[in-house]
Amino acid sequence: MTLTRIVGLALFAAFAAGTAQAADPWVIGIIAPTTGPLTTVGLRQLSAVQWWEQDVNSKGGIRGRRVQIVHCNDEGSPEKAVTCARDLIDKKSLLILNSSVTGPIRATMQLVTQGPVMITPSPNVMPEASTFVFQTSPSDLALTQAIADYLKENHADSLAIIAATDASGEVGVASAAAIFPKSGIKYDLARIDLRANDASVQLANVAKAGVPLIYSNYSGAGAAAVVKSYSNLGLTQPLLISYANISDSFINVIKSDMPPRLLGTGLTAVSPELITDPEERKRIEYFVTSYEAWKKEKMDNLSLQGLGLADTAAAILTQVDDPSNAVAVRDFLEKTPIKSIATFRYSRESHIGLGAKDISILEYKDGRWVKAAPLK
Amino acid sequence: MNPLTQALISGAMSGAVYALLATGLVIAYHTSRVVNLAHGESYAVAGMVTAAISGVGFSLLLAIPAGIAAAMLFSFLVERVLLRPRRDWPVSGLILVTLAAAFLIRGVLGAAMGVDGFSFPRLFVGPPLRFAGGALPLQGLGLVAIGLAAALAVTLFLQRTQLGRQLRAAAENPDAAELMGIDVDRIRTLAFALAGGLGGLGAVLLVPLVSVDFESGLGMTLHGFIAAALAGMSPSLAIVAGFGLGLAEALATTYFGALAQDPIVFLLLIAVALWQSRLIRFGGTARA
Amino acid sequence: MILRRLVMLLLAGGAIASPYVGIVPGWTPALATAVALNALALIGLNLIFGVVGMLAFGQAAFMALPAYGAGVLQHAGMPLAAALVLGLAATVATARIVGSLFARLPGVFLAVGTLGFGFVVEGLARAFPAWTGGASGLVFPSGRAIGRDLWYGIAVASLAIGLASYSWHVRGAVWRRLRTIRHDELAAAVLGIDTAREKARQFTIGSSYAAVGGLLLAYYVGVLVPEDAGVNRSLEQVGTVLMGGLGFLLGPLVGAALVRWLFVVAGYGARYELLIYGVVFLGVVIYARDGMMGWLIGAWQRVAPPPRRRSIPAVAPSRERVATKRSGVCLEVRGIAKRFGGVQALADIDFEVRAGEIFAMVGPNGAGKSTLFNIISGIEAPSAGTILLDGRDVTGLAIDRRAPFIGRSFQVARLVPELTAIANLMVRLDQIMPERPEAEREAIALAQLGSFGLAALADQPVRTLSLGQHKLIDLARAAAGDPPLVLLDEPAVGLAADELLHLAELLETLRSRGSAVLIVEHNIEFVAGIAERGIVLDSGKVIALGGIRDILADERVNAAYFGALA
Repeated sequence: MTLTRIVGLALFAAFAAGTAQAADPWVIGIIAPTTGPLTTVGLRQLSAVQWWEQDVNSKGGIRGRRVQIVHCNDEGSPEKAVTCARDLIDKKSLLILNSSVTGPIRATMQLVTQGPVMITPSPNVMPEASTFVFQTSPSDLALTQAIADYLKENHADSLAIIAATDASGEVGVASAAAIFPKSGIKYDLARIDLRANDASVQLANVAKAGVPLIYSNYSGAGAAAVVKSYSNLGLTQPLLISYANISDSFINVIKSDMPPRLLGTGLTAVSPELITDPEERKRIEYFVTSYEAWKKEKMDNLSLQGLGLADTAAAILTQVDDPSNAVAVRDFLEKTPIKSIATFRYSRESHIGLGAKDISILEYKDGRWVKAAPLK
Repeated sequence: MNPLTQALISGAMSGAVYALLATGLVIAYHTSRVVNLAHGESYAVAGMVTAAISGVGFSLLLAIPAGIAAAMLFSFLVERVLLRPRRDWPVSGLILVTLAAAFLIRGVLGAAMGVDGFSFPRLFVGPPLRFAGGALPLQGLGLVAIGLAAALAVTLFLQRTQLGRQLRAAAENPDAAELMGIDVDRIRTLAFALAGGLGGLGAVLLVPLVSVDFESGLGMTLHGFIAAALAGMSPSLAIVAGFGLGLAEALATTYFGALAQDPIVFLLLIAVALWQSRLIRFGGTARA
Repeated sequence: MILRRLVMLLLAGGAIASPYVGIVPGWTPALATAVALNALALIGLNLIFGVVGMLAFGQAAFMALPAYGAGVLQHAGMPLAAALVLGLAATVATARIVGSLFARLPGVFLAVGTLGFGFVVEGLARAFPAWTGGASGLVFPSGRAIGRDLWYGIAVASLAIGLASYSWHVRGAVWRRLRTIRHDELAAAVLGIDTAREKARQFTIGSSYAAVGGLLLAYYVGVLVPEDAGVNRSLEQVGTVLMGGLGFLLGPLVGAALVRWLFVVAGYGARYELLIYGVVFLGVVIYARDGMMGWLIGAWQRVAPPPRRRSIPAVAPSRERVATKRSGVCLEVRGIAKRFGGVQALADIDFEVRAGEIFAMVGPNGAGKSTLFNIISGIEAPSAGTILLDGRDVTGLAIDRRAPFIGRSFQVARLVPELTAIANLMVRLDQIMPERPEAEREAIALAQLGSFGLAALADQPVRTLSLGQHKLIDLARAAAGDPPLVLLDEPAVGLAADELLHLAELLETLRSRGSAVLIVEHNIEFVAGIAERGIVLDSGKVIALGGIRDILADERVNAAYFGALA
């Protein structure tokens, strides 16, 4: 086959894909890294949003129109994210869902100062209430506060922290400095390089005898090294893993080195029986069944964040008269609580939809996440 | 706990992997003049294949040889199918071919096994060895011992055996080697397969201590290249450079923090490169 | 010619308008803006790696540095404009330092030095978040005020300026010089090029393109993260430049456009995205060994073969012969000795060569002829003794500084295969007579080729010529510009009988122009026929010196020389 023929075929395939859509769908853009080091995060959230696309369209769409999800892969790079965002705006996306990470999200936020509304589950962004950006996760500060509260409930006053040298580690370190001293908790902190194969030095430095809990703030597959080094050193304190690592894929990686007690800071919804609101509970249970049947893969904390994005989009398309009016969408979000994996509540003062009350310290027991038992 | 002991243990474990990768990269480079940018992919292939086979319930004793064999096969194919038919190409073009091979195999691994991380149980199970205020897991001991032994074996093979000398002759002057009756093609293929095997060995020993995913190869190529470059692409120095790099990283992290690690280690790397190259003139062109 | 220009103009216009037309899916103004800004930065890598052949892995760091510099200075309270200028200046200064440390080194050391530099910059950006924004990124708010189309305009205009300045920079003498360095640094030095300085210079210039492109890109993107300075991006850039085609003007643009567009289109393949990208990338790579531009230009030349550029003048243009015919002693070798470790390669070598004579150096293999040749041309330094040229002590002079006085040929001709015969000659003339205009140097080179009977080959790339022709061109190059001393290393090797006759005539011409000709030659008959005097070396010592017939008749010479040959 000649080169021209390959390129020609690629062009034709792409062109055909571009024109085969039905007229006038609701266009929703999503920026999610589906290659590169953040693939797991991006793909899980994208899959949940795509589940919603087929689910809602199989029920006739919204207000008689189909939903069309347009995905753009930013590979976790700010430059590619900006290209994605500009293209999605040019394609008249009503909303931009942003499943990327801190740097790219901060870059794309600058492009939506006049709308469209951008919704992101990253806990590290913490958008100003004056912007068109909304965060469907608790802030990193709230996640840290939940840990402090758990320690205090258990009358513990010290903590060992391992944080990576990436953006979430940097935000985590700042949150720790802001929260723990205020709660009277002393902590020892060690950073770990993203390329490191071993965390025994870091753990040896901070997990001294008498420290009741080790918190690994490290997000992503590299964090497996922390759990395995913990096992290598024969440590016994409960190990608390980060918000982004509450996933089956992570459990799968560490299963042969499972700590005696594995805890995590997660959305309460990860353990659906802890949800008290019947509407939220019904939504999550439906998602779990339908998603797992459709995707043939278990849902986790990341999928739930994707569902949060989808449900926010659904509420906007259903309830805002003109979803292409960014100001109307913003006003709607600031006034209306949205029931999803939890209830997102935004206001004119805050664009962070969840808070400490939506988070639980969970514990991994018998293959599922449940409410954490007390710290001994 | 003694931070120095722990740093040395941690550094030796990383160093063993760097040494394996660097040795493989260097022998492939020496026979072909190509910096194989798909070299680290042999690590990913071995790790993923071993994880897949052990994941469906087979014994590690089957999964590990299969993983290493897959890595060798991949590396062999890169040479045999992609590089050999293009031996008259400029080296830059061949480097690009290996880069493309790396993209392709990442795509294959991603499509076949998904994007999540994998791991598999350790070969050496048991409580860690404790000495001098440090803890060394048995798997780590195996990694250092086997890694060092394998890298040394390959180095000795190059220096002491007939085939090894042919390999080096083929590297230094392929045309002359051909005239001397050495089958340069066969030697190259052998070097690539061997290099793939070393990368695969690194994976089956290290992955139980970390995780592997479809894109792990890139980082490994980079690690291998840094260590190989530190060795000035010399096979006899690759082991020293690998362990040196691992120890430098661990010591810098322990005493100056992870944020200071890269600036310190790479300033050292720059200093070493300058020292190694102090006598070189004319861009290393052969004498008149 | 006009048609050609018109086609080019239409293509350029079409390319600029293409993202707005929407025929190619995924090729949007935003992507084209990013591509253009990246291509601007990559002009530098194309210069450093593509043209000069230096494998640099730290260009992403040079892209990020000015933006970080400007950000840090703004943080320290400096106004934006001053911060930008200072940031750029600091980056160029850094590139100069890195260049002078590493650019002279061969591939792998340059690669590791620049790779290390990239890691240091990325690491420092992470380590000082208060200054650099850390891992979360440094925000550049000013770029958001500019709309999509204006950004595209800025990107296209700056790329056009970048490409124009690049082609202005690498034309003529610079292009010839850089390609010679890329092909053979030793030959370049002998031709009078200070290779270390030249490479450091091009590294600085190339890194400045990266700096300007990177700064614009940082303002366009609005956020700079440490990975932007990092090695993965540098590696991606090396791949991009290779994909576009090394050393082609449009290589960076075509490479960046293709790589980024393929990435976008492969994204339509959902979970097979990386596989599709890999397959297509590999497909392009194995079809286009010289990159996309090499492939495109090849295709274009099949459609429209390039016109012959030069009509060969029947007679060489008249020019002043050497005004004052040289006379007297040209080269004096005084007490030269050379030790390699414990081996005495040369001891107490004394002789002189006069202007207008052909002087032969003979001796068995290993006698030390090559070492002595290398000492005279400056490639190796003697352990003791002095070399005088026209009475001037040149013993400590660098090789390239000897070029005006010494022309040298090699045993195996060291020409640049991709350059034409005339360009190969001009490399030497560019160095020894830089004050003369290009046209004049071209005329001299053509005349020189003419007097060697090679005028008809002037515009042929050397790689298309025979080995015998290589030999003659190398000879013509060594003697170009009529240097006082011409060193010829086994000029007769590999020549047929009729070519030998021709060679003898040529040497006679050189001699008659007043040059001193020193030749190393194994062909004793040939030597006996042309040389007036000579020297015989054996085991690093002079065993005979004097008239050619006398020394060849010497018994010791026969014993040493023919004994060794037998």
